[in-house]
Amino acid sequence: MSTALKCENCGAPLTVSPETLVAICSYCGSPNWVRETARKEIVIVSSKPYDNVIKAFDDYKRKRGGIWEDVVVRDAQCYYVPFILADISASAEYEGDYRAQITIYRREIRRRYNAERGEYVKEEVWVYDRTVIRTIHVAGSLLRKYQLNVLARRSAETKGVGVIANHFRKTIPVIRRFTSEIVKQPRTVVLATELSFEEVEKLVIDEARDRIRSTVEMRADDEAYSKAERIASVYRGLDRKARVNSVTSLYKRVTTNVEEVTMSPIIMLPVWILTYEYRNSVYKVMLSGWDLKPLVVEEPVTMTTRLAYHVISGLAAGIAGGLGFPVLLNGLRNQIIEEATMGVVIMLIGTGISLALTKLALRSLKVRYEK
Amino acid sequence: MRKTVKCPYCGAEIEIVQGVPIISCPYCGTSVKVETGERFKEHYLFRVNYDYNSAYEKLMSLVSREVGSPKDLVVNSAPSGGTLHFIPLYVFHIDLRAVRGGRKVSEEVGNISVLASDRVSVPIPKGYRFPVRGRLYFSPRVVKRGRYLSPSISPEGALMIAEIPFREKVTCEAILETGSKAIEVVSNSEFTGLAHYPFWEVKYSYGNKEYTGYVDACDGTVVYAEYPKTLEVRVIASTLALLLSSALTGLLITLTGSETPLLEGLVGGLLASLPALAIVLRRGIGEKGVYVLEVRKVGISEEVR
Repeated sequence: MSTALKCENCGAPLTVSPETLVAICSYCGSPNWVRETARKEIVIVSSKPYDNVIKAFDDYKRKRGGIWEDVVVRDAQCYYVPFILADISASAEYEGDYRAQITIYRREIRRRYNAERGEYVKEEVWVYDRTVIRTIHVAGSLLRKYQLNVLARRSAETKGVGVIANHFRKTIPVIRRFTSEIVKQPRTVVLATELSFEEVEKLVIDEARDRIRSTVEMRADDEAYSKAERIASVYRGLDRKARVNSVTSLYKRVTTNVEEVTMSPIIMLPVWILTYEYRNSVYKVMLSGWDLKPLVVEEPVTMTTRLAYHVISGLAAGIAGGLGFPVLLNGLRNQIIEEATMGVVIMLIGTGISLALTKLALRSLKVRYEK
Repeated sequence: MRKTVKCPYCGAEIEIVQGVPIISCPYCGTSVKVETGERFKEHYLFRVNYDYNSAYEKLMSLVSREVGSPKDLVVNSAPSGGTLHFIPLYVFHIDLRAVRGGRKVSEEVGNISVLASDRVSVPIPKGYRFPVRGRLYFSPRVVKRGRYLSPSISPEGALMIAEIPFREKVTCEAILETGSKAIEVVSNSEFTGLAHYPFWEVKYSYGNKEYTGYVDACDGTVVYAEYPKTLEVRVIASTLALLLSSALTGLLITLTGSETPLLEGLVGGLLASLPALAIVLRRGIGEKGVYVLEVRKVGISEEVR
């Protein structure tokens, strides 16, 4: 049953869901371990304050210029998001049998009567010779290292958040022990941690296995294919051609193994979500809290951009239509079905391209990932 | 056979759905075990983080960005009412193991929430992911006004459907690991509870007409929105750009070629651009524009779930 939990430090009521592991008190900022057994170290990257965020965004606006001069900041809010970073090495062994079908053609010189010239001419033709079927065996092993960033919350799995952890890996900012002073800033929310280390470990192991499995499967297929090519090349010569027709898997086996997992403590990463207004519409920007770099930027699609897309879309339709329609008409006039169909196909290709570009022209916003 | 059961909290008579073991009172949300008439305790509620006004604001900022919506939409429209819908979700703990010869070969573990009713009035887009966490214990006092929807499918049936992708994955993995197809999948999945998830149905009026939008009241995502359409500058300019560019290009193409009549190229260019033109014009002509969230294209969402 629901019991009203209180902050160990100041006694204020805590908002806790049935899964919360650590709840950060919204009044005094101290961490409260709801499940004592899960207690682990928490570290934090401290964020720059609101004023600096606004300044950084102003700089960004100046750099972009154009429509960005009319952009007005509405609000910004800092979220400390709990992450666990894992370095994991996994190995995989694979073996498999494939069946390769290779078709061989040979060159023949034939004599053919040419009615126009009234004489026999020599002609070169490639004729089917035979089909060779071979069984190919592949085997090998692979070792891979993965860096996985896990949001220690089950719920919000959007493209946006992963970016912050990658940025953390890239910039390596200073981390410090979690203290309530750092999060006791205005406009700051600390998200509760909801995944335990055991759950995160299971998650990363599963992910690493999935990744290495798909890599190794592709490698086995590639290996089988190149072996088939090698076999085919043996049959090739001046008067012979050989083509690999198909390589089908008969049996495949991949054994994966996780060698080593190292996991970071819970790292609280600061993310600023800034909302801005442009011509009555609202857009969002996500900035990293420590170096205030805009990482994900939602931006308006300007009229110029839209028009450019429409013009290119018209260009595609125009070229295809201008080429295809006369061909179609010609075909109809001369009653050549192939020509008419060809005309229609050309026109349809143009229509397809123009439709795709039109969709781009009409989208309501652009999402830009800054490098 | 009984047709109704009495709500243990507010006393209302609730109708029973055949084959569904838990039902929710439409008035207070209390969930009842049909068999015993007792309160069902594993019942949760997702927090309403967005009130009516902020849901309306979310809706406005979205529809104003759509091509074809009038420029003065935000200024000249007014909220005209809203309903909070609570959609029932079943929460499952999935635990599947693939076994061969008594030995575990692979496993899939996870928590998921799935819709517990097939009569949901909220247009939830396909593939919309409901959070598993961040829920509170249900109490009839938490939210007074709101429309609770009762589950209409049995948890067993919902679990079977929910397990399908996990089953496929665990089987595929096991086949790869062992190289054999003789695999048995053992399920230890559990039904962990019922949760109600809030959505705002927001109505607003613009120029004597009413429009509806649906906003996720937990995280503020707009999932569906209607908006007025006008032949505004953006639509007209787009149409002209497309028309001119396709006709001119068609013409030019025939100019460079030799024998074909000029008109054929022009007509061809226009014909090929017709579908695109129709799409552009539809943005401006007609009664109502409709926006439906595409789950894959979500930009930045606030991580407050």
